[in-house]
Amino acid sequence: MYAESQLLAGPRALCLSDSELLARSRACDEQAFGALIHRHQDLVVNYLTRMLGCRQEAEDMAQETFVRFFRHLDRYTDQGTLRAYLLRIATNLVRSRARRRARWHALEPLVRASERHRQTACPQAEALAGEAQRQLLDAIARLELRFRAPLILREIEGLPYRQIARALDTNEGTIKSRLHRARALLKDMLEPYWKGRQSS
Amino acid sequence: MTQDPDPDHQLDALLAGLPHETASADLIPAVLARVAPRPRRLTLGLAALAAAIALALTLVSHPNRSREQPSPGVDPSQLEALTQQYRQLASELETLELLRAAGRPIVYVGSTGRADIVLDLERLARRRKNQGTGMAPATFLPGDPQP
Repeated sequence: MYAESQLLAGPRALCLSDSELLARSRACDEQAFGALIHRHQDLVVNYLTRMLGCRQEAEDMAQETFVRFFRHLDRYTDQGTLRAYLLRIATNLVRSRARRRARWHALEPLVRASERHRQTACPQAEALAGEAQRQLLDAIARLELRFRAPLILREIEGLPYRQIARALDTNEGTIKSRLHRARALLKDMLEPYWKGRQSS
Repeated sequence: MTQDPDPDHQLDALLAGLPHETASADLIPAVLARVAPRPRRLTLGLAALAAAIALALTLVSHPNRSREQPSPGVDPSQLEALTQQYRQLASELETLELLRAAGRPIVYVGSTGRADIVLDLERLARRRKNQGTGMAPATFLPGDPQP
């Protein structure tokens, strides 16, 4: 294991392409794999934070994303789509989490209560810039996964449609349609807030 | 914030204003620690371990049987193979005991892709203690030095 400082002190690894780092990672080069994580970690963490609504949970799931990627390195066929591939792993983890939660349907009121408690207790939630952002994040959290994921990847991460389609294992047309729907749903949810703000 | 009546513009402005989260400094070391090869990554499967324990228990419960001459129907090469397998499994058991004694009771066995499979040696030792046997095999095979 090596520290972040050592990783940053090794700019050679950071200059290598994803393909080169992947080849080295497959040969159990820990430093190369560390450089790969370093390159993509912020994207994965930001995406998961917006998907889950909690920074700490996102960090844990990002860790799991990279561990799973490493354990199945042989499954990834390098076509310059590593970003989309990592986002697909992350999205699958979010889906699995949602499925697990659905199984606990009987306990939903309790789970929601604890989730609300955790989210308000999350330091990042406390540190949000203002009421408007809180309203927006709350509205995003209420979107179904199939709408939330493309919205975050396009509107927040700025990914091209092609990569989003790969990450979510669907086609570009579906992504555009879901994105349009997601925006409409968000506007509907935010409308009362906007109207209230204008009248006050 | 200026009051923009166009909902699309308002939404775009809000989305653009969200802070961008960055990974903590702990993420890379945490991932690398999880994917690093274990000091002794046992390739021994659970089935092999169960077989080892079963064999050890059998030999403990019939300590004299191993000293008996093989019956005429037993193939000597088969017996030799079994003896070698026994010694290998006994060695694995000894390693597990050493790991437990060294305060490393959790042994990584493998992964299903969804979950890690680990062996809790403390738990195993407790169960075996309750059954009245130790971790180490306590019998001898032909050729072993006698006490």
